[in-house]
Amino acid sequence: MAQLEVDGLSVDYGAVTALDDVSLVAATGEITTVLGANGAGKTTLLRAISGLVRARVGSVRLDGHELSRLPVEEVVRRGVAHVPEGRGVIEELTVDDNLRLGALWRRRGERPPVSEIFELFPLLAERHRRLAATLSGGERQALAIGRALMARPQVLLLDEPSLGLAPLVTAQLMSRLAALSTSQGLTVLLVEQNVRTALSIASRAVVLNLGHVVVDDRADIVAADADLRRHFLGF
Amino acid sequence: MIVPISSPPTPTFVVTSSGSEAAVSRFLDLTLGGVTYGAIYAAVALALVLIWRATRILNFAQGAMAMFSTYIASSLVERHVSYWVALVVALASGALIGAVVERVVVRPVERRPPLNAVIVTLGLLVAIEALAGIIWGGSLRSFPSYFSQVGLVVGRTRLAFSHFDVYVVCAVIVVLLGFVILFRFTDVGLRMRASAFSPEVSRLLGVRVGRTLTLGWALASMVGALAGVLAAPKLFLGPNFMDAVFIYGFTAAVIGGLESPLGAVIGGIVTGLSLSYVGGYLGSSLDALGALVIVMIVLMVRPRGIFTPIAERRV
Repeated sequence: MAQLEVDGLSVDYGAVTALDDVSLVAATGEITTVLGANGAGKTTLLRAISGLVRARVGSVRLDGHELSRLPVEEVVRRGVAHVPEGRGVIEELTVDDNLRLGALWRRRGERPPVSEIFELFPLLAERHRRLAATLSGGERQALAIGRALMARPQVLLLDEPSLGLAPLVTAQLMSRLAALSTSQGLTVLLVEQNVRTALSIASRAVVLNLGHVVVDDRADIVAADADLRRHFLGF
Repeated sequence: MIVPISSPPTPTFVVTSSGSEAAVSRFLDLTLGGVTYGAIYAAVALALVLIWRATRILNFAQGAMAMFSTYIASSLVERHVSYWVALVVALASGALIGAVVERVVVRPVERRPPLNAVIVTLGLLVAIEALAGIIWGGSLRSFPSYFSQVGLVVGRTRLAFSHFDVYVVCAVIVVLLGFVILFRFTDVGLRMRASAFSPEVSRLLGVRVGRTLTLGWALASMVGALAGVLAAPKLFLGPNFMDAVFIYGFTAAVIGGLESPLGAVIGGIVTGLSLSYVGGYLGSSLDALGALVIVMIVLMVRPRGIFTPIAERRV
């Protein structure tokens, strides 16, 4: 259904090159994880895909349709939802309003009911009238992902969803993601620091180092490669 | 120029009877007079708050923009167009001026150092007042109030509160309710709130933030234009007739904390009442000073305004 292709993408911040000729494919209904140290360019990659930063050269295509020249607010309309780092819930709004916001660009009849997300994340249902500022870290992450799903995306870009979460909460979240991806055919591009967990649910892994792709392989092979782990992933 | 502050006249028709009764009646008159002016300041404050919430910019040209719309209404009324048609045209022109100003003048300085926006809106203030002077001349002209400005009679007392004052207060209440409904219950309102709180996240969620901001400026300037049309019958229309009203509206917005529409309206009433009491009891030359003192006290006691939640805003 929805395959995301990044081809020869380069991004500069002034004189600093953040991404240099990065290419990868996130296949339909699979989780592709992007790994690498701080400053490797993982966040920049997601921001370039969703249009928050402009690439100097290169292309981003969804099922062959070019995304890289579109304004940010149009990219989500093409089916790519980006959950930014630090969760990006709007604290001043209630849980309900945050969720509604995710589907607001759709026409009235085509918006999924908020209850769909509550089935997925029952904790949110209990807190639906509270301000997002009152939620715990895990609840915020659930809200941010739920809000992205309200857009009924084909591709989900996740930036460090496990950041600041307790190990148990992270494990739950990751198994939900894996289930979502298989049950709904959702293509996931998952940026993670939590390498072990990410590799356990992903089918493919891309390792970035200083803005270059150094490894692009099956996740189980990357997980089994001791040298690689020591060099780039630090465990 | 901002300097010449034409202070709102304090009610003069005080019914004199004996001693304490006269004191009570004077207090009542000052209170009622203060409420009407307060409602006008509230409308200006609402306009300022809407723009501040959306773009973190204080629109110093708000009063001048409102003045321009009021002149447009005045030109129509002089050509025997109905008051209500003129009002609608003034509001529409206010919205249009707001949208154009946001797109053309303010867009380049959004998300830049705050001083840039201050300079730009101050420049706009001077430019619009000069333009109005060129088009309509510098002399003051009267503006119809549509409703009678003669005080209502209750029992045997004539209050310092006319049909027109009732209309002013109701109009501002309707506008406030309109905004509450807009923000709380509509999709557009949700988009506007989200864009104000977190523009980048909103864009990721498909909100067309640029358009939303333009709409916010248009709505705010519409309220400003309403304030102009409501103030003109009381003050006489001139290129800088909104300067004083703007300063008091600004006072009201600061008292309300710049974030909350309800705070703006309450701030407006507080300002209107305080100025009326200061003018009535201490002399009308002191009311500008009164506004300054109020702002100083509020900023000392609650630096973020009375109606802003104490919690720090996280960025």
